[in-house]
Amino acid sequence: MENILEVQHLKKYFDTSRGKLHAVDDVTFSVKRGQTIGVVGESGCGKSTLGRTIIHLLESTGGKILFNGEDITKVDGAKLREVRENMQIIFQDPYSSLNPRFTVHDTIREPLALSGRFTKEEIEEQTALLMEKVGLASRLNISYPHELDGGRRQRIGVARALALNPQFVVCDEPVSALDVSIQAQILNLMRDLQEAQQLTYMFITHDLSVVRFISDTICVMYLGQLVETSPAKELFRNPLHPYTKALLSAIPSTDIHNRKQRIILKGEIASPINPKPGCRFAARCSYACEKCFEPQKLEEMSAEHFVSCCRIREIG
Amino acid sequence: MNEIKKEEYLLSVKDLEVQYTAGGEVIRAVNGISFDIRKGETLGLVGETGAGKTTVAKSILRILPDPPAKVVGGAVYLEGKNIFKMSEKEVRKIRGKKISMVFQDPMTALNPVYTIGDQIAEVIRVHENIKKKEAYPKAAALLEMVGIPAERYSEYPHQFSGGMKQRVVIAMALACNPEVLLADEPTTALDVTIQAQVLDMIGKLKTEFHTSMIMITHDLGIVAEVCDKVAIVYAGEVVESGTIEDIYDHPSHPYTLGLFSSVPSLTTEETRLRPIPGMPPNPADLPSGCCFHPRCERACEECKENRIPLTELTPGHYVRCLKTGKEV
Amino acid sequence: MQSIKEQKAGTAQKRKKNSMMRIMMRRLRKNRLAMLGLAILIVIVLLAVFAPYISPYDYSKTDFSSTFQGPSAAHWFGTDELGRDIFSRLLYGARYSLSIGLTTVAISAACGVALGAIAGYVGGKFDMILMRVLDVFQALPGMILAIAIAATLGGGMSNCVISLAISSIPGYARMTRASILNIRQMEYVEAAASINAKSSRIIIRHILPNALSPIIVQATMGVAGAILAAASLSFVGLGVQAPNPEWGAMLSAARNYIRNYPHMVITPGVTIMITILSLNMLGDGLRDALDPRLKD
Repeated sequence: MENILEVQHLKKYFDTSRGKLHAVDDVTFSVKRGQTIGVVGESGCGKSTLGRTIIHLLESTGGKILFNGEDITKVDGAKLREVRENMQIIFQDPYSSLNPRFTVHDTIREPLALSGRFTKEEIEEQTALLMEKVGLASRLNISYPHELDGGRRQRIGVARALALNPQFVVCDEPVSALDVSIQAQILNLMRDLQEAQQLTYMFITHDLSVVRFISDTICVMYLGQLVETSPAKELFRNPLHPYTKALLSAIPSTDIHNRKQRIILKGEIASPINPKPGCRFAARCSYACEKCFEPQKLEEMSAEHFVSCCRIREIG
Repeated sequence: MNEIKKEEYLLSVKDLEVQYTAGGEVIRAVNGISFDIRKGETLGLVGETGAGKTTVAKSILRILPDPPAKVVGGAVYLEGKNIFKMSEKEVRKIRGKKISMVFQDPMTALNPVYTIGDQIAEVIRVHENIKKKEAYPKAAALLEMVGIPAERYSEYPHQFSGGMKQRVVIAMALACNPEVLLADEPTTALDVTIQAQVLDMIGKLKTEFHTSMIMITHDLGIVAEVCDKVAIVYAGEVVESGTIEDIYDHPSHPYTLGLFSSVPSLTTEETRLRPIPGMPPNPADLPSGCCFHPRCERACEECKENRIPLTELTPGHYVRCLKTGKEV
Repeated sequence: MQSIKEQKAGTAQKRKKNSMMRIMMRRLRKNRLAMLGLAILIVIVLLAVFAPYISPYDYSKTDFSSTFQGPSAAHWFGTDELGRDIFSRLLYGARYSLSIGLTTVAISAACGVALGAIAGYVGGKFDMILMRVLDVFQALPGMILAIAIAATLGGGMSNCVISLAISSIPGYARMTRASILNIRQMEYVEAAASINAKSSRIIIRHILPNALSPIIVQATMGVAGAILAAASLSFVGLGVQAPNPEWGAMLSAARNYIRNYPHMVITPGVTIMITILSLNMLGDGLRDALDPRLKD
C-alpha cells in the first residue's frame, strides 16, 4: 500500500493582535490508502486546523503536503479545484454545517452541479444514489435541515462529502455532537462506506473510544505539536509519551471493578501564541527537565510507533 | 400526604410528571419518574438528549419556565417536606442553600460583567445576611477549595478557561454547603484531562462535606467513576435503576444493553458497533405501551399495549420490561 | 420508479411547504397586530394608487370662497387656507410619501447591503476604509445630514430621496456587515468553499439569504423612518415644496393656524401617524416571525 498522503513539517500560524498563534507546528506523518488516521487532542491542540490546512481550506504557512506523491502545498486555479474534488471534509456540527435555506436535495447536488462535469439527469441520479448510500429516505429530498435530527443531518454532510468521489476525507469530529446511539449508527455507516469505496479518512476527535474503534493509526497532538504517532491498538496497549499516558488515564472507565489510578495533570494548557521553543507539554509534565525546552525530534521507538520526547528512554 | 419519614431519605422524587405546551402540542417530557437519595449518596441519571433528565432537575428546584412547562403530577420531598407545596419564599430559601445546581455550559453560566469573586460572594450573601466584607474571606476560601488561587478573586470570567469557569460555578454551587448538588452534564463541555480534574475535585468535596449529588449525564464512564446508584431514563421514564453493580454487571433493560453496546470499547476488538436501531421518540407523540418497543428486538404485542410497571429483579434493582428475567 | 421529470415536479410542489419563507409567513399570519398593520398599509397603498379616481376634488384647485372650512359632508376633512380639499390632498400626498419611503429604502438598502456584504466577506483594507467612511457619515445626526444635503442640492422630491438615502446607507451597511461576519463563520460556508464554489456564489447563495432577516425588518421600519424624515424635511422647507400635497408640507403650512383651525394640522398629522404605526406593527411582526428560534 502506498502513501496517499504525506505531510512534512507542516506549519500553520495565524497573526493575531497579541502575536503569532502557532496552531500547527512542524507536524509530520503519512497515511496509507484505504486506512484511517485518527488525530486526537484537546482544545487548542490544532487538530481541526491541521485537517483544514491539508485540504486547503486554510493556507499553510510552511512545510509540505504530498498527495499521491504530488506536491500540492501551494496550488491554485484549476489544480486547486482538482485537489478539492479529491479531498473533502465532513464537519462537526450538524446544525451549522448545512445551509438552513437549502433542502437536502439542494445540499447534496451542489458539489455535482458546481463541478460542471455532469448533465442534469446525471446529477439527479447521483443525488438519489448518494442519499440511498448514506441511508436517507428519498422522501427527505425536500426536507430542510431544521426539520431533521442531528443524525440525519450528519448523513447529509456525509453524502455531500462523498458526492464528488473523493479519495481522502477529513472528518472533523463528525459524531461528537450526536447522541450515543446515533453516533454508533454513523460510525458504522462511515466504516461501511470506507470499505465499499476504498476511502482514506483523517478522523479528528477528542473521544478516545471512538478513535480507537475507527482508526488504524493515531496521532496525538498537544498545542500544535505532534507528540506521538502509533498504530491504534498499540497506542492504547503501550502509550509512551507522558501526555498520552495522562490522556488515556483521564478517560472515565466503565469497568467498575478495576479502578485505575488516574494521572491528574497539574496546571492549565499554555497559550499557543508566541510559544517558547521546545516541548509545549513540559510545563505540566512531571518528568520535565532542561533538555525539554529545546526543540524535540520525532523518534521511532518500535514499529511505526513514533514519540517526540527527549526523556522517553528514562521514563520507560 | 405531605410528610414522610425524615430519617429514610434526604430527597425523594415520587411519580413526577412534567409537560410542555408549545404551539398547541403537548410534550410529555417527564412521565412518572421516581427515585430516592440518602445523605452522601450520588445518583446518576443517565439518558440521551430529550429523555427528560434536565427537566427533572429543574423541577426539583422549581425553576422550570411556567409557561410553557408545567408540573402535572407527583411530588418532590426534601427532608420529608413536599417542595411543590411550599410557597415561593420557602423555596427561595432552599435554592442555593439546601439544593444547588451546576449547569452544563460554564461559558454562559457566569455573568460577564461581574468578577467571579463577587458572584460567589453574592450566593453567600443571599443566604446568610452578611455584608460584602464578611463574605469576601468565605468566597476566597471557596476559590482555594476548588483549586483557584484566591488572588484571582477580582478577575472576570473571560480571563478564565472553560475548566476553571466550571470550577467557579461549582464553587458557587457549594458556597452554602448544600445538602444536595444537582449537576447537569457538568463536564460535557470540557476536555478529557480537565474533566478528570473537575471530577476528582467534585469527588473530594463530596467526601469532605457529605453532599448528596444527582449527576445527570449520558456518559456511562463518568457514572461508573462517580455514582453509587444509577437510574436509566428513556422518554421521560425510568426504565432501569439500581446500584452501580446492578447496572454495570447485570444490565437488563434492552435500552441499557443498547447503550452499553453503542459505545466503542477501550479494551476489546470490534469491527462494527451494535447501535440501537431507529430514533429516540418524539415526546409530543410517544409510542403506546413501552416507549422503547419500536426500537426493541424483543418487543411483542403485549409490549405495545399498556404502560409497563417496574419489576424488581433483585432487591433494589428495578426494570421496566416484560421480557427481562425470562429466557430470550 | 417515477421518471426524473415527475419526481422533480412533485419535488417543486412539496418543497415550498416547509421552507423558512413559508414558516415565516405562517407565524406572521398568526400575529394579529402585524396583520392589522398590513391591512391598513394595503388600504393606504390602494388609496394612493387609485387617488385620481377616488379623490372628490382636484388637489390643487383653490376656492377662496370656502377656505378654512372644518370637516363637513362636502369636504370630509375640511379645506385649507386656499380652499383646497384636504382629503384629496391627503390622497395624493400618500403617493408622495409612499414613493419617497419605498424609493429611499430601495436605494439605501441596495447600496448598503452591497457595500456591507463585500466589506464583511472580503475584510482587510477595504473593510477598514469603508467602515471609517461610514463612521464619518454616522457621526452626524441623520436629520442634520439629510438637511445639509438637501440644502446643498436644493428642494424637490428627487433631492429629498437622495439625501435621505445617503443618510440611511451606513445603517444597512453595518447591519449587513455584522450579519455577514456572523454567518461567514458557519461551517456551511466553509463547506461551500470545499466544494469549489466561487466567492460570488457563496455570498449570493449561501450568505445573503441567511443574512436577510434583520435587513427585512430594518427595511420595513426604514420606510416608516423615511416617510417621517421626508415629512420633517418638508416641514422645514426643504424636500417636497408647496403647493405639492406632501403630508409634511401640509403640516408645515398649517402650523400657523393651529389655534383657530386645528383640523388642518390634525388631519395630516393623524394620517402620518397611522401610516407609521402600521409600518411599525408590520415590522415588529416580521421581526418576531423571523426570529432565529425558527430553528425548532
